Formats: sequence, C-alpha cells, structure tokens
Amino acid sequence: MKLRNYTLRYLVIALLGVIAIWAGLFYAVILEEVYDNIDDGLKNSKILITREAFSNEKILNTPEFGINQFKITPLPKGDYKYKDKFISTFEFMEYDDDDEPVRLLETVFEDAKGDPHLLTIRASMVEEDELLEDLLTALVALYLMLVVSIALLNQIILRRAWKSFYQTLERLKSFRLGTGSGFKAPDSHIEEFRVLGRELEAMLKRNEEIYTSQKQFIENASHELQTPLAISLNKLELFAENNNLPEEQMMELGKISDTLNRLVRLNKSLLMLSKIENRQYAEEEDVDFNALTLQLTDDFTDLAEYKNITMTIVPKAQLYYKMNKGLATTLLSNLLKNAIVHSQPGSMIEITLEKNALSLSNSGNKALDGKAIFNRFYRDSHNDQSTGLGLSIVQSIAATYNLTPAYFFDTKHNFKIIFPER
Amino acid sequence: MKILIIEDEQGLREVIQQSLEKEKYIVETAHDFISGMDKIGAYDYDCILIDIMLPNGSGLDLVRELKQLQKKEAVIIISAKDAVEDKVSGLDLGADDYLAKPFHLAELHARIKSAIRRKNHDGDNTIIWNNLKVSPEQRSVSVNGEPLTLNRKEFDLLYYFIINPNRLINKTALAESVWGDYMDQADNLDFVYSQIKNLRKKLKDANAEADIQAVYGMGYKMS
Repeated sequence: MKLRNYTLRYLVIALLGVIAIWAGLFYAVILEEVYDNIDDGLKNSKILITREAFSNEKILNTPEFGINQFKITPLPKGDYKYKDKFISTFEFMEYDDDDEPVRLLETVFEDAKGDPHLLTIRASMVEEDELLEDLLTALVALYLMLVVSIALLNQIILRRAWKSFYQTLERLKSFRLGTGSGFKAPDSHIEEFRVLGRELEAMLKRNEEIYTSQKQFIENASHELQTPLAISLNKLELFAENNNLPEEQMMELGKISDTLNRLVRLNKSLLMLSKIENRQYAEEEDVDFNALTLQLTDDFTDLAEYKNITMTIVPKAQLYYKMNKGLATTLLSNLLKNAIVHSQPGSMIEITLEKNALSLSNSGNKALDGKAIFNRFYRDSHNDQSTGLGLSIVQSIAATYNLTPAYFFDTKHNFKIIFPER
Repeated sequence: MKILIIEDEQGLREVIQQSLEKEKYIVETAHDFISGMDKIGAYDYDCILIDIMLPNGSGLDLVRELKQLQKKEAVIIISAKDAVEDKVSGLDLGADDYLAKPFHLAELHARIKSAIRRKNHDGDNTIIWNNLKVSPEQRSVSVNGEPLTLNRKEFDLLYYFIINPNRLINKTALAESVWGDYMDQADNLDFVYSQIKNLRKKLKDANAEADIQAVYGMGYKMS
C-alpha cells in the first residue's frame, strides 16, 4: 500500500468518527437552544394573556385553541400551585395533514374576581426529524467535501514533501554493488530526507569500498600464491625426475603433485572469478556458439569416449552472442565438463542450440539443489578433484552478460543458459 | 644454447635453472630489473625468460629495450598476473610467448624450444630422436624414413614427448598442453592413459625406438 493511501485511509476513518460525535453534540445543543427559545416565547405569551384576562373578561371564555394559540379552562376553587409546566407533544395540524410536534405551557392563574383558570398556550415546534435529516445531509456533504479536499491536499503535499524520498528509492533500485555506478542522493530541503540521503550515500560508499577491497584481496592473494605454487610444483617435478625413487615413494610424490595441481586449479578459478567480476575481460566479439560447441565437443571427445559417453548436438537454430570469446569458451567448456564428469558411463549428453538458449542434458539419478548448485564451493561429496567453482564461474559469466542460467531435473539433469532477445 | 632467466623469486629462478641445465643449456640469471638490463646489454642469448613484476622496474620495459637494441633473442614472458592486457602488450612489444605462473617445467621446455625454433627459421626444423623424425610444421612423423600416420592428439602427444625426451612429464601438464587448459579440471586424467596406450601401440608397430613409460602417480617419460 502506498504511503499516501495509507495515511488517507486512516484520515477518512478518523474523520468519520470525529464528524459523527461532533454531529451528535451539535444536534443536542441546537435542539436545546430551540426549546429554550420557544419556552421563552410561551412565557412571554402567558404574561400578556394573564394581564389581558385581568382587564378583559371576554378572553376567559376561550375553551378551544381556535385562532388563538391558547385556551383557558375554568377550574373549581381550590389551592393551586402557580407553577409553569412545559409539555412536548403531538397535535394534528391541518396544513400538512399530520401530527406535528408542539410545545405546550400549562399554568394556573386567578382572574380579577380571584377564580382560578387553567391556561394552556401552544407553540409549533421545530420538526426534529426534518432537522435531523437536514443536518445529516449537510454533514454527509461536509464529510465528502472534507475527504475529497484532504485527499487532494494529501496528494499534493505528500508528492511535494516525499519527492526526494521517491527519487532516493528510484536511485537505490538502480544501484548495483560492484558495477561502479555509485549512488548519489537527491537534493532535498527536508532535513530528514537530507540526512537519509547522506547516510545512504555514506553507507553505500563504505560497502562499495569494502566490496572492492575484498575483491582486490582475493585477486592479490591469488596472484601472490602463484609464485610459491610454481616453485613447489616445479621443485617437486625436478625432484621426482632427478631421483630414481622406488615406486611407492613415486606414488606418494604423485599424490603430492596431484594435490598441488588441485591447489593451482583452485587458485586459477578464484582468480578467474574475481577477474570476471572486475570485468577484466573487456574484448567482445560475435561468438558463434554453434561453431564453438562443435570445437569443444571435439576437444572433449577423448574424455567422453573414455567414459563411453556420447555427445549429441541438436542445432535447432544459429546462436550468436556478443561477448568475450575466452569467457564464452569457459562458459561452455565448464558446462560440458560438468556434464561429462557427472554422467554415468554409457549415457548420452545432448547439447541443444536454439535462437536464444543453449541447453545441456545429462543422465542423473536425482535432482540437485537448483538454488545452491551455482554457489561457490558447492559440490558432490564424492568428488574430491573438483574445485566446486566451475558452475559459479558459469554464473559469474552469465551475470556479466545478462544471461540467465537455469537448472531443472526431469529424469535427466538439464542446464540451460537463456540469452537475452536481440 | 644460452638462456637468461630474469626472475626475482629465488626459488623459482633456481628450479628453472636446474631444470634447464639438465637439458644442457647454459643458463645465466638476473634477479632484478637493473641486473637484467646489464646482462641484456652486454651479452647475446638464444632465449630470455622475463618476469613482468621485477624489483625496480617492469619486465615489459626489458622487452621494449630488447626491441630497441634490435636483439634477435627469443623472449618468453613469465608472469604471475596472467592478465590479458599484459599478455597482449607483451606480445605486441615483440615477446615470442607468454607463460602464466604456475607452469610445469615440461611446458616451459616446450615453449622455449618452439620459440627458439621459430627464431631460427633458416635451420632445419625437424626434430630427430633415434629413428624418429618429427616435422612440427608439416605435422608429420616418420620412422626409419617410413611415414607414420597419427591422429591430431597422438601427434601432439608425441611432439610433447619428443621435445621433452628423457624427462618426467606430469600428466596434468600433458593433459593441459594437448587437450587445452580447460581440461585441467576433468576429475581424472585416466583418459590420457588410454590415448598414450594407442600412441605406444602405433610406435611399437612401426618399430620406433621410442619407449613411453608410465611413472606411477606422476606421469610419463619417453626414453
């Protein structure tokens, strides 16, 4: 949910409550005021009528309301309290053919002779339900107007106020660590966003520095390892050559040499990974993957034949892609090698070339973890000669050239490299 | 044949020197840029091995200097960096080959031999070993004058053995050199053995005086 809808939602709900409470109170106060006003008018009429009744006895003979808004009923002699009594009731009104609310004032007075009379004065009252209706209509209109204007204001204010925030978000989205694109926070006159931008900028710069120094470290470490590795490997070779050693000792030397060679491979792979990530393979050309596949399968024929594995190429279309030739070769040869090494003897590897995809399938018993398979140092437990970096190099190359590596299992292992549309 | 090694790492310098001396080369060494420059200026060699990262200077400048002096030496750059730019600029400057550390000694010998051979184009390019005659340019082999037909990989294998005769060749070095760099991660190199078996059989059938033996655990040796 967007920020402005979020705030608007709460404002709309809160406004509904506030306006309902306010309407209730307003209604009560208005009604109170109206009654008060009517009652004052009735009291005034009472004074006028009783005064008139003193001087003009004819008025005393007003038993019904008629055209006057009062009636006087004679009372038997007795002791009456001279207290005003207000009554709200309904009476039939001819003009709209309905019972209408009226306010009655009942009081007792003595005429000039001292006889008691009951005086009832009536006044038409405001129609509460109509008032209520009108009030409700007004309130609904007010509410809608408020909501609309708040929504509009919200829109405008939020857009203005959060502009730099959204800009920051956009720039964050396009930021990629290690691409050297850098992050520049937008200018803002709002303190908080300025701080946010500044902090983000500093944090990402720190990250970028750490990332670079880490990459640099891997590369330097691999470089530094090359010479000592060369010395030990060469010394060992020379030693084995110069001394006529018994077979057993030669076997031991062979094992040391194998281990050293594995270390060399690991180191080379690490170096390659960091070079790919540092984009040190700049030269690009249109690589013909069909030709490359033919060449590489030919190179791997001896290894495949030794394992009694057949490689079949299915060229459904010509696949060209602009990338570094060496990396294209590494990509394909790592996939091929991977397929050959992990296939059972006597099985078949199928390499399919499509317009925008290259896929390899090879036999296997069970699915591998498709997520972890491209990770560094992920490998089968039983293969101690693999460096565990082959597929992660594939992934690094793919990432460099916007290719998508995929793995799935359907009675066979399937590796697919999807090339972007051209 | 005289070879100059310009390499600052003492261990590597020694091991290369010992290995080359076994091949009856006369080997001289220099340990930094200045001593390397002195030797280059004062003497002539058949081949010079130059490390790029040297104390007080770059090996690439030495290659440049050689070019300026119009020297005819075969130059092989050995570098720990294995950077494409270094390789390209080194070869552009006139180096004959580029070898990334770490390398196998057999590979170094092979590179030195081909570099020297390419430099001396006037001479006879065929390599003779007992009754075997190998012409690298024509990729042909003959035994006692009779041509011997080998497939591509078998020829490459034989060529590698014949320029490294009597030397122990690590099976990884052999696989990398004949089948390419990316073969190095093949989980086992037994397939190399089956290829060597074929080659051995062909050589034997042709009565070639070349015996390729397996050295347990390490690799192979031709004598």
